[in-house]
Order: sequence, then structure tokens, then C-alpha cells
Amino acid sequence: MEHDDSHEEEHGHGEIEPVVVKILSPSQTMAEEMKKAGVQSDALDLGSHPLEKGPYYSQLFALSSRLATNKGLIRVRGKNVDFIQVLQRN
Amino acid sequence: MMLGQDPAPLPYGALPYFQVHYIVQVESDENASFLAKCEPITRGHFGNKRVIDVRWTGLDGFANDLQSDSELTEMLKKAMLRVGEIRVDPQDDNIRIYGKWTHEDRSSYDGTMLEIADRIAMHIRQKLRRLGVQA
Repeated sequence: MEHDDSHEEEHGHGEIEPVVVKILSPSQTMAEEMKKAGVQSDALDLGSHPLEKGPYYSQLFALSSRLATNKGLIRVRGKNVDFIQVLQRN
Repeated sequence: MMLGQDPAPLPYGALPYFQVHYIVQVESDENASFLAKCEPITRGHFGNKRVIDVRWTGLDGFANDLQSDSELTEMLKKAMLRVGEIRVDPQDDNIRIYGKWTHEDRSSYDGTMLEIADRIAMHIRQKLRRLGVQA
């Protein structure tokens, strides 16, 4: 009997706070960090800008990467740099 | 039963290495003249290793412009041990500035690298304006 009582106390009336997990892409994470550092930036939707379609390298340097995956583009305001792109190596 | 590490991992697929490209969006016939690479000149080894200077190599006078910017050099001397190398890589409609690939554990936002890329981008825009290109 004691066991039944304690069981009811532990679980109460089933009111458990839902845990919301927001998964951010690498570019979104970086854009958030940049905003915290005071840089005006916005992460664009994946694949929404022509720059994301590549090529990402001119191949003028020796040993330039040939396979890389676009992980998102960030628009930067108030700087000489227009965009920041995050790439992942394959 | 414990599962061990795969003795023959697949040699392809996404690797845990990231690279950040700082992009100047400009379309001109002069883009190709912005090819440049920066390498550190170091002294010492291991824990005592430090950057004493940086060396820019590249086409035309752009590398010289970057080499003669003492403020940029000071910024680079602080960052090059971590960044390793910086390339300015021109394409037809944009110019990309990037360092080496970094492991995902160390691939967070780097404010110093943004400032360096911003200063290099400033030189790119200044030179384009001198050449009569709207940038």
C-alpha cells in the first residue's frame, strides 16, 4: 500500500513541462552568435541564394577542395563582407 | 554484446570539418586580379611557436597592398597561429576569403577572423573603385 501512495506522489497529475528542442543549422547558430557579438546578420533559408549553388572554389590554388556541402548562408550588414557561407567537408 | 568501432569505415560522406567563407559579392572583369594567399612566418616550436610576420603572395599589386597594411598585419599576427592560412579566392561574381578547415569542435563564430576578412574586403572594394568598378 505504501508503494502505491508514493507512486501517486511522484507522478502527480501528469503535468509534465514539455521540453522544446530547437535544432539550428550551423549557419543559424553562427548568425545567432554574431548577433550576440553585435554584428548585424541574418541566416538565409538553405538554398535560397544563387551563391549557394556554387562553385565554392575557383580551383586556382593547388589542392583546393572539390567536394564540399553548403550548410547555409548568412547575410551581413554594415561590413565590407556581404555574406558568410558555412561549408562542410566531404 | 558490445559493438566495436567499424574496422572498415566508409571513405566518403560528410566529415566533421567546417570552413567559413567570407564573401564579397562583386561582378567585374577585374575579379581575377584579387588572387592572394597569406602564410605566417613563425619562430619556435610547440608551445613557444609564435608568428613574427606574415607573407602575402599573389597576383599584381593586390598582395603588395595587403602586405603594406600594417594594421592588417598586426591583426593577422594574432590570429594566424589558429587560422593557419588565409586565401583570397576570386570568382566571376564574387570574391571569397577563407582560412583552413576546422574541426566542428572549434568551428564557432570567430570575431577576429571576421575583422580580418572585413579589412581584406575593404582593400578589395577600394581597389575596384580605383579601377572604376562600382563596389
